[in-house]
Amino acid sequence: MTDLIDQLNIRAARITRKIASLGVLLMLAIVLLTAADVLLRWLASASVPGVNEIIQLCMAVAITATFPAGVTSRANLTIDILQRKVTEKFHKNCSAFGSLCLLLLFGFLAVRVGVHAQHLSERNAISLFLEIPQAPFIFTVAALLSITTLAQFVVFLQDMKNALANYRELSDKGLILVAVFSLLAAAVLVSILGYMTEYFVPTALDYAGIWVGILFILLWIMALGFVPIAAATGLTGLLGTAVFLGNGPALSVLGSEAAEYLGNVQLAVLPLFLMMGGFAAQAGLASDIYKLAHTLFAKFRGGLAMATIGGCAGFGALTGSSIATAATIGQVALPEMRQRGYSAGLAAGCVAAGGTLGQLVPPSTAIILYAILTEQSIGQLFIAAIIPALLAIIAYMVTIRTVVGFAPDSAPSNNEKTSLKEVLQAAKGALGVLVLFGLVIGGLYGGIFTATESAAVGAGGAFVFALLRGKLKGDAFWEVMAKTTAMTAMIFLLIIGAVNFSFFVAISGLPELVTGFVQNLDVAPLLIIALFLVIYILLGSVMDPFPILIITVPIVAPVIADMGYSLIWWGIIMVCVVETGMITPPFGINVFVLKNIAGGDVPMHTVFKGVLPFVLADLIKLALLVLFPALVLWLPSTM
Amino acid sequence: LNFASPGAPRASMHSQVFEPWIDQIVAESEGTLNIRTFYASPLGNYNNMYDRVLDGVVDIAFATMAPIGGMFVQTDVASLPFETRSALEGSIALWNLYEKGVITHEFDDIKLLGLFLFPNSALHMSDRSIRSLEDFRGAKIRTAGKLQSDTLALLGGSPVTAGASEIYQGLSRGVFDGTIIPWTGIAPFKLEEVTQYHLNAPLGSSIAMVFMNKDSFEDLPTVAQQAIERNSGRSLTERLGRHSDQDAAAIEQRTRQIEGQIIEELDPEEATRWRTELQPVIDSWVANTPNGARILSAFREEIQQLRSTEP
Ligand code: NA
Ligand code: NA
Repeated sequence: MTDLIDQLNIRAARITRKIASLGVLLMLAIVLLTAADVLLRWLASASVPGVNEIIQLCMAVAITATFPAGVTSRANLTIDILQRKVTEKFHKNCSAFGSLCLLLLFGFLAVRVGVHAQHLSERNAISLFLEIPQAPFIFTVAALLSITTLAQFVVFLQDMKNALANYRELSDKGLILVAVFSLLAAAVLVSILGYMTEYFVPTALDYAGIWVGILFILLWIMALGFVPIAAATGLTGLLGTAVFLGNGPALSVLGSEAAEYLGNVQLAVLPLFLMMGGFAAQAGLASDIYKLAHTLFAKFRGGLAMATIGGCAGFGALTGSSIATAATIGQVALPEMRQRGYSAGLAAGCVAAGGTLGQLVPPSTAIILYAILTEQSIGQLFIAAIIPALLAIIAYMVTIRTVVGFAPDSAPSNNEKTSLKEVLQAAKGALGVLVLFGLVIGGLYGGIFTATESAAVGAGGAFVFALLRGKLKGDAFWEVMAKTTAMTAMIFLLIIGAVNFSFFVAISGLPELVTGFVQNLDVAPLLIIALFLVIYILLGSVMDPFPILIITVPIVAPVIADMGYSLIWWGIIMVCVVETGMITPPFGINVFVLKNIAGGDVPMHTVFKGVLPFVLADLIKLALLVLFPALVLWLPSTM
Repeated sequence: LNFASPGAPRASMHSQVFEPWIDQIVAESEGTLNIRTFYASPLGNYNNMYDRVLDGVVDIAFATMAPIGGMFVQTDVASLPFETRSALEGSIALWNLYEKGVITHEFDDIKLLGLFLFPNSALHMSDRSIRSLEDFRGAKIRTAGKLQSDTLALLGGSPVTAGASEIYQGLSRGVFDGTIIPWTGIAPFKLEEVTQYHLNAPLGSSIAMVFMNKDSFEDLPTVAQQAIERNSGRSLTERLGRHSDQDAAAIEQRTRQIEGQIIEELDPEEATRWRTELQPVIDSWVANTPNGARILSAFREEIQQLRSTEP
């Protein structure tokens, strides 16, 4: 007899992939439209008024179309520090619970975005310039969210099956019954909670501190209990807002914030930069840039390691992810270094550290997230990151020289000589990368493009490269797109959770409380900054950058602004410090990625040991940026 | 109750109008009211404030009408170019239309507390001056909405879309040569640094309101309701209109003192030509608005009456 739940899963995967493909094609159309608008403005100095309104409405639909596929491919960010500390059975139970939480969140979202669309339709809401009716688009978003909810139900079934596998032989039909029953139980629980919150609303402000404490503990229990971050922040935010403002307003905020951020023009850059990175990797631009760096640094001892840093920086200019950078460059550089006699520690260490350049060198998804959370300009933040990124590159190179100096056996001594001709040839090969980077960052700095436009031009350019090099044949195009959609779904879900959580934080009065507390401390602002940084380094040792940003920025940024510091500067500091967390023990994703590529013969502690000098370099760089804010702020001030 | 304004925390409207207004209401409510204020974004922004109040997330709010697309077509009469001379007269005239029921149904879903205009938008150019219709040829000028775009296109310029926060950069890089914005928008974005030629021409105003969630109002004890009503309506409208004129005048005065800044008034003869060119904007508003012709003439009557009673 065929397995019912497995079959459901297969069918769900097939259908959701089709929906995601439509979304992706819509995104590609947006890319082309934007690029055309840029060209038109450049050539004919005319612009189509209201292009951003089309982007806004279509992007909301395109992004939501990636959600069902994201759900079936389980593209969630979960904190799994405790995974090895608990039994497998417990972990499976938690996962099923996490799945249920996500299911609840999607259910709420689908209904409330639908209600929001209904409101828009009732008052004939139209866009400002083109006067496009907004309701049909938001209804489509709500429909896609309903499909996502169904897809998540199938995922939930599978997780229930995994969790209950050890109990006794339950038929799939029995399992579905159990799942529906637990869903009903959850609904009852939510209703009870709903009644309770209404009771608390009138007095909530008087006990704001206590409520914030309770909700933060709840958030941490969920997050550490393997509930996806998006669900943990989204549901805590919803509950917190309900306690302070009541159920109706809280649900209304959930729906309208989701609709608003899905159609946020600034955020449209995210999938576009993800797409650019995907096409760039597919086109082989990573190995081009690595080859160029190799010819440039070959004559130094440790040259291949330096070339790796150069390659990471170059690829980092095309992608907004540090994991992607570590993985992509790692696959090329690690075998090469090992083969030439580099020690495992130095080889893996420099790729893991170099990977963080994927975020620091613009474009950067962490910077985009920060910009959204603090309402700062993405363009200015990108430009502000350039000098700190250069500083990081120099610091890493110096680190390699120092390591090779102290431990001569970590790198081979046979230096290679490269002729100018070879360098030029490699440069010609890497022309694509240089052109793309020049277009995206140069256009942004020069004010020719907005952030959205530069992302569209970058994605379009990388697409053309991959196409011309014949790298998009067969399934390759869809594979790149599948990765893009999975990342898009994951990050946007995180953002929806994050904005609801920050809404609750903002109305709870916590930022004012913390700001007041810090003001009363009466210590030098620099000391407070130092204290924050120590906390961030500790958090970074066990957590991913995104959850750290999402949970702390709404509270910390007002304090920083209140002390008179620039939020642009703080954004760069934040990205630096959370990225260092990617390579610090015990939990550093980049290190895990490298461990994966290196295979079984390199133990984890060797990689961590190898990465340690780079962590030191990071700390020195951080100190410089804190002491000399001009390193961050000067370049954007010349824009 | 909570009061939310999407404006920047240090905006003068907050300290000079809203805060005294709220203090007064709270004082008169005999301890039945406690109003918490939120400035800048936490509770809502210009785009979603109207929905936030409807849904009861925010109780009392300040919001501009333009982003609430499709809702306040009749009210938009006050935003038309060459109709008003000051924010004050426009604000009061608009409030009278509302009170007399000439504008129907647009405010049915909310409790309206005050209605006002920002001062007329003026032309602020970076490196070329505009004095006559001919000067518009080839001028790329940033506009904020459909009405402004149409206005500018009829005058002969090329409208460019950009968010308010992008004006400074756009002007300093020559993406556009100027912008249409009231004087009150110059200071917050430091536009005096990137513009030099200013022309005071009544190119239309944006409308804003102070309003309240209906249920929040009805749930209040009578003494609190009375405190709010006593301080709202025409008196709040007047206060807001007057403040917005004073604010604009102060910024204009400050800019005038900066070396190299040239501020001119639109020549009366030119004004007649501009008005003729802009007739299609008026006609299309009248054609697309229920009861448009009657509202426009009523609005003009109100304005005439105000001008005749004022010295
Ligand atoms: Na990057
Ligand atoms: Na770490």
